[in-house]
Amino acid sequence: MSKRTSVVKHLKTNSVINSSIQNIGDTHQANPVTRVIALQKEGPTFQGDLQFEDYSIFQREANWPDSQPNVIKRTVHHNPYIHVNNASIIAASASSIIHVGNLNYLSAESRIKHFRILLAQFHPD
Amino acid sequence: MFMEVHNYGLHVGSVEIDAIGSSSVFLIGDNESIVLSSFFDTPPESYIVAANLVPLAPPA
Repeated sequence: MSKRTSVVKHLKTNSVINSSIQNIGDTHQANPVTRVIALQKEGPTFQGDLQFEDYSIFQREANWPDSQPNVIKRTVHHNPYIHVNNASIIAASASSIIHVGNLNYLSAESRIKHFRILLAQFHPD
Repeated sequence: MFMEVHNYGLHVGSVEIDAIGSSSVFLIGDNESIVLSSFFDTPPESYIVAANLVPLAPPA
């Protein structure tokens, strides 16, 4: 499959954190995985710890589609370039990828669980 | 199903993105196949308005 060349005149990225990647060039396969427990808690102290093993969302199998779609696709590139004048990105986080160039196969998975523990005196319902 | 794609010029002036997060990808280029899976879980036990300091929720 013929692939085009990406031409980016100007790329400005502020931060690439938490196993994120900024890749300029071609990649055959990428498989980013994110598992997050986010705790928002009011009150002066933090006690207790949150483990991935304790919560079923992190044990469950990812439900990947089982079959490939039976589509035969033929692509003809009449212009061998992809032009982007400028791209400006503030942040890439949590196993994200900024990719200039071809990325053949991508299978990405993300699991996020939130905890919010608020104190009644601040939230009279 | 047979699909034929003809790509002529692809020219983007400028892109401004605040954030790319949780296994997301910003791709400038060609691709064969993308498969994505995402879980997002905030059940009742994850939102607690407590009179006082309560220990964390029991494992679910």
